[in-house]
Amino acid sequence: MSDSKKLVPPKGKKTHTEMLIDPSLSGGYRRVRRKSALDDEFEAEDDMQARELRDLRTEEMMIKRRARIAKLEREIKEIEEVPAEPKTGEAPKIPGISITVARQIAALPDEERNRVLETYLLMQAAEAKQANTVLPAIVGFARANPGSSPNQYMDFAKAMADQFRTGVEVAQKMTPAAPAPVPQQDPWRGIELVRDLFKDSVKEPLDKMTQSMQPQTGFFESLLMNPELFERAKDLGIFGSPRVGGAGTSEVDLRIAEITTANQLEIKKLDLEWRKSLLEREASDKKTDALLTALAPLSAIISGPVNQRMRQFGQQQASAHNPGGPPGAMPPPGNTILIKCSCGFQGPMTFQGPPPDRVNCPSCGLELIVGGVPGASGNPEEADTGT
Amino acid sequence: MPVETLRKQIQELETDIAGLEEKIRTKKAEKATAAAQIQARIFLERIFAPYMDGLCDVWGLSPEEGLSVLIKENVSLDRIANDNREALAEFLSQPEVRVITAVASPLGNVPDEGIKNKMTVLLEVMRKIRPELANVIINTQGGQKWFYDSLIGLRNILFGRP
Repeated sequence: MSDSKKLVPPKGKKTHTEMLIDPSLSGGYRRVRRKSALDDEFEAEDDMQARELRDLRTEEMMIKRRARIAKLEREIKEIEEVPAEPKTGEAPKIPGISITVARQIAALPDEERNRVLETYLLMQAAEAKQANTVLPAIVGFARANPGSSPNQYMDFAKAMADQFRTGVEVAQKMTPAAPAPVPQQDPWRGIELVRDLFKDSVKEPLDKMTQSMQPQTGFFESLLMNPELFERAKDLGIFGSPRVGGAGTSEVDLRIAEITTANQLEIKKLDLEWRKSLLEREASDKKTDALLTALAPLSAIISGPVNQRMRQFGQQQASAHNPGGPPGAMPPPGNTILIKCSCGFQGPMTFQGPPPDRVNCPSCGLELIVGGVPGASGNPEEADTGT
Repeated sequence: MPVETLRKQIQELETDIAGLEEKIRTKKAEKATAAAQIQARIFLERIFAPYMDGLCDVWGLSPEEGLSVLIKENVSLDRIANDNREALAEFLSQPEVRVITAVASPLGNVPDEGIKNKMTVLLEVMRKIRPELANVIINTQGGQKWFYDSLIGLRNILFGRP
């Protein structure tokens, strides 16, 4: 396996195949030779021969065409020389078949189509006008009754032709005082006839119908258009604003007043409901209660420092006023000590008798030694005696 | 809806509204009284009483004695405070003092006429928490006037009214 792998070269990325052919097999390399004078001579001879050949071919073509033209002229001459024969036969029959009917006939199966055409030809041979008339009916018969015999086709065609003829006769009998037959050569007369017919049978009924469909003047319109009727209606209170004391002021007025009162009461009710909801919300408001509840604890939190500050302030102010004596004279202070606590409190404390050995800080409640000195001995606070 | 029904509903609504308004009035009055009493209590406990205690500490008198002397000499509390303006300024700059004057401000933004009503409330509260001081103010001649003048003065000092 390993040897074969070594022998097979790796596949490259080429997508096409190249083939090298030995030059000896392919005819060798083409020698490049310069053009000589003889070559020019040969080329000139070739050109001349080619030109001669082309001329010959052109001449051949012209001879053939001339021969054909001569033949055609001879045939035309023969045709022209033949005398025209009198037309003794019937005029060529042009079938009066509409394109729609022709398509319907073409769409029929072969058998039905042949029978329809046979019947049509037979009918045309008998009565040409009726054949065209009954042809659509024959086509319909063929589509509705496939596989019918030619006799059935013919019977049906005859029946249809008879019906058509009967219908025409009845129509002619029912037309009173039929006008004289319109000459075919007067088309204007036919147009006038059609116009009169249209006018009598279509236009007048349509005019009457259109007139009857026009909007008629209503009661209120006629009332508004006629001043007398308008004033009278106004007096009667038809327009909703009858005059005071008029005839139409009873029922309508009461009804209007009732509706107006009801509307006003509805509005008042809505207003009261809205006010009630506001008052209910206000009555259940707890914000002030919460504020009052929070006020006392807040005061208690700061009560200690504030009390001391206030007391200290009083003591400071007392030194400036001597009740019962001149202002500025200090009253006998008694036994007062100055407290300096580690909590930051500093202020005097007075006792009626001699101060005790230990006092509590008014601010934080820490026990302090009276007469001590604040030091680094670990004692939190010390107090010294005052005066 | 028929008019009669609407009238009846409106009558009921008006009755309900009248009841609610009365309830709100009563509640507001109760709250106002409670708030006034709380403020009065805070004022008395945190401001008035310690101040009197401080004064009397230095003078060597009991609060009742000091208060009686002040009433007799007609020396209001603000007058005493104004005698030492430096100490007053330092006192008012203390943060806890500013807090307590903001919280307990029964005298703040109150006109002189309103001070009389406040004084009534303060005396009522004082009779509960410091009855000995209240008795001195009530029983001493000129005591209530002195208290009124002192309150106006304290209002001017503590709550910024000139």
